[in-house]
Amino acid sequence: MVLSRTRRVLVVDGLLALLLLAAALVAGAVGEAGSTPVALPVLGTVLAAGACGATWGRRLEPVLAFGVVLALVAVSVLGGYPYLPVLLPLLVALAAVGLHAPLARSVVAAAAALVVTLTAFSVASLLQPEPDPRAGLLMAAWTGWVLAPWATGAALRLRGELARTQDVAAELQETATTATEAARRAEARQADDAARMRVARLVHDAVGDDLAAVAMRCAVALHVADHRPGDARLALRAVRDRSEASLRGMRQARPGLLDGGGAVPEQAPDGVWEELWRGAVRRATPDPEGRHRPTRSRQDRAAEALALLEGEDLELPASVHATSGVGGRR
Amino acid sequence: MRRLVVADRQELTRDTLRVLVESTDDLMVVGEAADGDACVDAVRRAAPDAAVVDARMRTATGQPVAVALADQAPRTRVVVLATFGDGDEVGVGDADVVLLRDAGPDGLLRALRSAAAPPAGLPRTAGT
Repeated sequence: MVLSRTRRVLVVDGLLALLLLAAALVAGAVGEAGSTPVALPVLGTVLAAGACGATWGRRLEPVLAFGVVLALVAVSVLGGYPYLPVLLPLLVALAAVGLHAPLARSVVAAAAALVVTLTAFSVASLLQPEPDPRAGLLMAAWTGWVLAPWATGAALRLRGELARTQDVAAELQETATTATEAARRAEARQADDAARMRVARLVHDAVGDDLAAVAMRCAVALHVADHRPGDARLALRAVRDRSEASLRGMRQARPGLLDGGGAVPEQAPDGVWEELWRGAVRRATPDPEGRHRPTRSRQDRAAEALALLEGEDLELPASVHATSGVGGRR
Repeated sequence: MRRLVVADRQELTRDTLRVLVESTDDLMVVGEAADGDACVDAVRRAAPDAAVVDARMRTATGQPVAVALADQAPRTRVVVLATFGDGDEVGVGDADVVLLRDAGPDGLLRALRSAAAPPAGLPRTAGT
């Protein structure tokens, strides 16, 4: 894949170098026709052709290609050849450096291009028998020609880097959002599991207490049967009531075990099941962070349940029934 | 006559203990409570020889009733009535006597008499 891309780059840039060469030859011919005849036009053409050829590697080795072009341009300027043929490859090489080289290196390259070419122009001007009155204007224009393609290339590079940075930032943001969402879901699952475990423990303890109470009541009824035969009926009734209450409590606890979110029982249980029921009411009340937000009807049921819990109709455990001085044989 | 306060969240258990105690000549129930604060209140008022307390019973501040009774009624022996008898039941570690609910009438009475009769001494877990 990398090799294929390299070949494609070489082919495209080779074609561009050929086009540049053609343009340079045309520009040289035009320049030569309109200017003072040069001593070695063949060498000037070779220098221009070399500069054009060096742009072939402008994308693979932008700094190296630029260095070669700059050297050939300097020689060409010092030789007094028309500058237009070498200007085109220099512009391309500068744009390539700005676009493909890191900014710090491309700044150095642009500065080097200015210093080298302006120095070459100055030296070439000094070597002339008569100073060129347009020399100052030409150097100012040259400065613009050097800086403009480099600045364009560097701006394009910075824009690309900015876009890539924005892409990475967006990707990171998306990753962070996904991670946050996953953490939130895990936290919610953990809360569900904790609620389910709590309900399970409460059910376990409540059933254990009920079974123990029933067993104790039956054993005592048998124990006092000879002296208090009527107690057996009372004991049976108490055992029946306790068993029914226990079964009711287990049914009410079932939704909390199944979904963890906990439906609010319709009826307030009694005795040891009260804590379980209060827990179900708490779970059905929306929390401040909005997790497991219950439906409207569930909220209504929670509110009703709380009202019922605090109201007079609910049979909460009684407080002290007897006080000191009351005998045990009531 | 030894005096007892019975405190349990379940009315069935309180009734059972009352019936059991009423079947004896030497024990009497002088108070009952269905929650921790009422239990402490009853013990402070009645000053019984022993208090039979639900193992999971706490006061409104969350303090185990056995601990509250040790602080506020140190002369009353605390008999904790446990379903499982392990440390998960809050009052078990602070009781003078730990009594399992399925100890049976004889075991229950033996433990109550021992706890209420000074100086009483029983294994930490009775009725097993």
